[in-house]
Amino acid sequence: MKKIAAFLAIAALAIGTSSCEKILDFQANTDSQIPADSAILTISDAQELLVSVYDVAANTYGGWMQNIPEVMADNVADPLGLNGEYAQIWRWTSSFFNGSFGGQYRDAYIAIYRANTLLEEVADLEGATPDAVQRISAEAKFIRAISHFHVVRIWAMPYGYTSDNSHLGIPLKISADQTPQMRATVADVYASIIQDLLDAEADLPAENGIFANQMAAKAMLAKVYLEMGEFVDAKAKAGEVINSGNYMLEQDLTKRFSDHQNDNLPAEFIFTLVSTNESTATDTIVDERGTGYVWHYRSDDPNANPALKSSQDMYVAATSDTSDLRGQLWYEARNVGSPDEFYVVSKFNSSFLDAPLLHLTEMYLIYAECNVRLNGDSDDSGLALINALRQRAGLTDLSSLTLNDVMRERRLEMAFEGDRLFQLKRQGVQGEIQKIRGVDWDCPGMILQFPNFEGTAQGFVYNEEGGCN
Amino acid sequence: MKIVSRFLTICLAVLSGSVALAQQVSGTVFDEYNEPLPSVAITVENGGGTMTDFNGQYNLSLGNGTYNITYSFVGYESATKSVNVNGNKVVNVTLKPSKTQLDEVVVVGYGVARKRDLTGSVVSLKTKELTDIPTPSFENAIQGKAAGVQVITGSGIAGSGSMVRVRGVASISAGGDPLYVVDGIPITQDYFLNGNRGGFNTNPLATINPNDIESVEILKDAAATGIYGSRGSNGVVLITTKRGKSNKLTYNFSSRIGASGPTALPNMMNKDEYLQMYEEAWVNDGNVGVPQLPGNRVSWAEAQAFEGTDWVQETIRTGIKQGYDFSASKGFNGGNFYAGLSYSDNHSYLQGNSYERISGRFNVDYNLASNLKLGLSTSISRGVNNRIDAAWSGGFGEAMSRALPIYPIYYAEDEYDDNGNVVARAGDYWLKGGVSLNPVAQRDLKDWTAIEDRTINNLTLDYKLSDAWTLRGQGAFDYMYFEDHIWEKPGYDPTYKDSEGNLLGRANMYTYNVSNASGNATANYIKDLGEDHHFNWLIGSEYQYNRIIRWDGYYDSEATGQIRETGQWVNDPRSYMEEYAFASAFTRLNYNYQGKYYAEALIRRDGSSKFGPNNKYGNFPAASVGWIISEEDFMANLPHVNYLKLKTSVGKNGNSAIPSYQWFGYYNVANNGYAGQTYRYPVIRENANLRWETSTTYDVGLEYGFFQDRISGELAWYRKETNDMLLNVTLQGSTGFGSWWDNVGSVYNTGVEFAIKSRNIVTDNFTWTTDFNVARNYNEITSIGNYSPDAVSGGTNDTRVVVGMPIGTNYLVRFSHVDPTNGLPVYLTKDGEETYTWDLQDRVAVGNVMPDAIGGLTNTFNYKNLEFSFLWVFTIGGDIYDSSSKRQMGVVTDWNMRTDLFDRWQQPGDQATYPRLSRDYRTYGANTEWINTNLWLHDGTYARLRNVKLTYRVPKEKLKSVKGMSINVTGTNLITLTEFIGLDPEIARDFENATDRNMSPNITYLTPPQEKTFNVGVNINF
Repeated sequence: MKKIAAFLAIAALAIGTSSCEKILDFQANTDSQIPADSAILTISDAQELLVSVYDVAANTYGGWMQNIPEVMADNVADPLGLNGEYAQIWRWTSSFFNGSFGGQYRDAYIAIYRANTLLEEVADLEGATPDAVQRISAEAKFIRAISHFHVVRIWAMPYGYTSDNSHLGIPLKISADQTPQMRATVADVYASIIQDLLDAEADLPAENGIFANQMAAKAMLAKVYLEMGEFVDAKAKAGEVINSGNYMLEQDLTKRFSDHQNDNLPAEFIFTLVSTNESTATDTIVDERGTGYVWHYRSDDPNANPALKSSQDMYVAATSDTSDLRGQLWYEARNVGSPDEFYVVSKFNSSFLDAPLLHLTEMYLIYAECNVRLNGDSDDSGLALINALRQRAGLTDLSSLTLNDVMRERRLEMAFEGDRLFQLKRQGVQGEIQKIRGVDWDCPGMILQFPNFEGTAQGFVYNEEGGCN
Repeated sequence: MKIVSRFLTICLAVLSGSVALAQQVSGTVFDEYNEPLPSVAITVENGGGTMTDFNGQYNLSLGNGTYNITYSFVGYESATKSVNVNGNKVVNVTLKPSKTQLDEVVVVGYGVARKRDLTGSVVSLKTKELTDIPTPSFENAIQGKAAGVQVITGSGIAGSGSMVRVRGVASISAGGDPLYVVDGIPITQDYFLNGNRGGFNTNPLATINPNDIESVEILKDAAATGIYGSRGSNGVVLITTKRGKSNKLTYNFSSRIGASGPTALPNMMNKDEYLQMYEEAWVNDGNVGVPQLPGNRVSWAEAQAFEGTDWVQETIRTGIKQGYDFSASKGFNGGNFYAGLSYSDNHSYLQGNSYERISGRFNVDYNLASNLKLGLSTSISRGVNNRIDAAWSGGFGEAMSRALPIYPIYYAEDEYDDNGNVVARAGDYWLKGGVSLNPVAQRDLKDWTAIEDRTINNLTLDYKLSDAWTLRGQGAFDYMYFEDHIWEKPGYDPTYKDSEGNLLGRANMYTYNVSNASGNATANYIKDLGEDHHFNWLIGSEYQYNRIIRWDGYYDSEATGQIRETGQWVNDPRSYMEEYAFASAFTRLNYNYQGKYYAEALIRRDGSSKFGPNNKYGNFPAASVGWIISEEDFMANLPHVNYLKLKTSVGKNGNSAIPSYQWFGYYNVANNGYAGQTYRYPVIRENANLRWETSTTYDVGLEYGFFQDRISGELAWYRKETNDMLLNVTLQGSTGFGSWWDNVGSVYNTGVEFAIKSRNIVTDNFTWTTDFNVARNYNEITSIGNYSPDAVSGGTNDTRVVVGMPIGTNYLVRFSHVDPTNGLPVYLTKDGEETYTWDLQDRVAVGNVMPDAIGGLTNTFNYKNLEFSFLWVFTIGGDIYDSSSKRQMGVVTDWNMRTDLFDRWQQPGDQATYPRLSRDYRTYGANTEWINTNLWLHDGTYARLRNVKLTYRVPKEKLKSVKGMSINVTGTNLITLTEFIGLDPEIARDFENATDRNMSPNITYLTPPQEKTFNVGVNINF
């Protein structure tokens, strides 16, 4: 009887859940892994998470995200190769299997998820001071805004495509909540982007090292307002940045896109994804961030035949005036005279390229365009800015400014930076152009198909396929 | 506790009552050869019982009166004697081997039971059925012999894993294999421990010697598997190893030798055919001039002058197989033992490929006291697999794809570069396309051996506390060490050289070890109340801990390929550890009334480290009832029906076969991130709710025996509803995460099984027995929750999860026909309209890899000393996707082609199966060479003569010093009837993971066909 009782007691012990907790508790044992529930406890943990937000943003905005719209527009030559994913995009026939661009999409949302986690948790962390909470939150909102902005521009029809912008945008993620999200309207997405940027503008510090500061938020607002056709606001924000005196045009065109130099960024850069190439006594930190540009366009030896090249149209536009330094410095014709003559880009011939996301040149262009659209540049303030850019390019001053003048300068200045498609779509919305490379500016192939992993939520609506004809 | 003590009180009362009037009934139990039988269970109808000792003797204390005493033993007919006890009495009994399976005793979870008393669905296979077919791994012998158990033998690669599915497939991402239990202990059985390196999954079951197995029981329904709770939903396979029986020392020696070849050979084009077809494609595409061959490795002129290489013949051979088994067993005073030693060497028909196994087993039972028995089962084995690249990885796979007949094996003459320097000498391996385009060089320049050491041990202590109570404690350790080492000799990679330009070799090693420790304790209470009420109550607990440690690395060596030599590892070897554990408690109560009405109820509570803190524990109950109708009085009117039992069960099982730590969310921290700063980031989302996949199974079965069991069998219907399926789902990209494990959706399996055994002719000299079984299973995915099919893609194999369709649905663009006017392929859009464009948006569900029905037919003839048997297995329905044929018979690329392609369009008006030849996939309206359509989908119906065996038993009178001797000849896979135009219709390819394994059997990709074998064997008892 005793034995049975003892035996049963052992059996009962095994049933008792409390004793089981330890014998059933195993965790992956790698030193670098921290359980999720104890990973973000202090404000310095939050700062490290914030660094990872920039880290993932720098992975995608170092050219990779920008190359997608560039290839869809008219600046880039047909990327040869039948199966290439850029070739699919160039032909406006992207499908949800187009893997590597799915990676850019995912990176944007990884940045957003981390930003959301910060926004929800930072205030309650150990060591949280009001200043730190305010700054970290504002930086998180800034990255969340630029990420939503890049995705909505590439995966949805532009602002203004419908009069009330009720057309489908993208999943709008403003909390770290993990429930599947359907697509919000373009109106809602832009409203959220603007709100995030206004908050960031209010809360970001004036100085913040290489990270986002108040001027970056203003510059970003100018860019978003322009995209929305809000020319008054766009001009105002661009004006604030220009008049702040914090930035100056980099006069040496070859230095605008060049190797990282010990934190000495070109004076016109407002927000930049920086590379690192530093040797310390113990370590060499090598971190290339402009790889999206460099790996595809770089044309100096031994890159005789880069994956992405200038279209003939772009090359002619840039070099028709032989004194234009932009044409001289940023392009090179190869196999000249032969049937397979092609044009390479030398703008990004660099190893540790600092990739600017916002720069003063663009602010000049935004201000000038808005001023022309609003009042025909009646005060010539736009003309002055455009002439400053022309002088840098070795050209003579214009005497008056038309929209076409601004658009031409914009194309030349921002070539291959991922701007051209949106410049054309903006003109499409305004009714100023109808075609991009021979097809309707708003045909289905002018936006990218969502990657198939986005459609893993039941009921998700993909973009229309069928390309452009 | 209360119930226990009440039982105990009753028990003690009964005991003390009977002791007062005790008389001794003793005797010996003999087998059919008049050898004493140990361990025979003896039960007295009104309570009490014992077991025979090693000399077959027993002793019972009974009061005066008349008793029905039943003697039963596994594999023997039970005998019941009516004994009038009036003073001491001697009762000797001889047991006959059971003819009817119903009196058979079978192994069930944590015990044994008479088949007659079962309310669950169990198939039992004995040694003979498990060893009648010469196969390195026992599960292959199950094929066609157990209704509802689908066994797909692995490919022709030696040592490759089979696929066993009990009653369909109920899981998508979690493992769909049954739980394997050896002598009461769950063992490690994971086909993916070594990934699919080389186009091959290893088979951990192959280290178990089939000749050591006494019986295999396959538990199918919830009543049977329920006691294994969270791990029983895919069925349970119980393996019982041999123990000593006879009290005479018995030796058994068996040996076989055989030869093997492939069941089918690919019809690849020879050099002239290849060049002709290539040129036709060249011209069709509008090219002029001399065709340029793929990769420009040889010129058109060189190719024409070359005699051609038959790469298939260069990679195959006649495989020689041999096996030797020796065992000794004996029952002795106080116990019994079985010792076995085995060696086998199976060379497959693929050159360079073999699986060699040496194994030993020692099982012993020893009575420490009259009521205390110690049992030890221990085995140790080593499998040595001489490996080759196969399928997508090379070898025979390349012979069917990129090794073109225009490529030579060796350079015919010296080869110079542009500067006139010699780059290769005549007779060197031709390596212009690297080793992968020269399977002979690949094989010769690579030594690849996998060694698997395994030991499975368990120690059992049985304590018979009283007539009613038996306590059992069991501790076990199952350890496996695996080492895959690859030595690429200098020249394997011609670009890998030292600074002086000398070729270097490279050694790679991949290892893992798996420690699996477990223990269980059970108490069993058997009690009869009065004449009518029979109880059997079991309670127990179990704990299992499993640990996998991996360690990979590579090592350079200029001189030798001895990776184990100490030296500098080129990289830091990667080490990885994974642990999991289960803790369980369970209880089972069996009751029967008058041996006529049966009921069973059980529940198991399982906890597992694999699941989230919110759902670490699960409860798995099952209940069943049985009714032996033939015991009813009214059945006396039907004398031809000697046995009829109706049974039904319902119960809940689980599946937990997923990798460890999947609920666990974590962050990584790293230095020198963006701008040189330290950063941390989330890697995996936590899923604290991750829980068991659960199946609720309903089962109704009818067991029958007619004409004194001349005809017997079973009919069963079941429905298994699986919910909370464990899926590795791709998360919506905007969540910021890639994938995680979640409990999603549901699937059901339903089917019927029919088995019949008929003794058609029974005379003294001649018997003819037929065994037939057939099972139909249908499964359907009923939900995948809030996810879309894109969340659970079928991986690389073009099968897809579609709600409303079975698991393993082929989701393809439909190929309609070849347009006779222009030779272009015509596809169908989603809506059924004809189109020249191949668009993934037009994919629809066009087929399914799961068969409609499977079964087997065995006929056995005995004439005097001759036995002849043959087994046909068959599969009806189910589609085969011949995935590699899209490259062998599609766009003309750098792959060789199959002669099927002769039936192609050549000129307007041709009605052809295949379109006009082209080297440009745009001709076929596609944007890739990998054009998946249902043109490559075929009916998978086949019948196969799985085994033919002729045995001659040498008559006893001719034998002198030996007790028995037989000689046999067997042939396997000699005939296959199928309309499948590919290689072998029975396909278990290499799989990438469990999802692939569940969804993509019957998808073939350069998979080597199975082997057909001829064997001669001898078996001697002495």
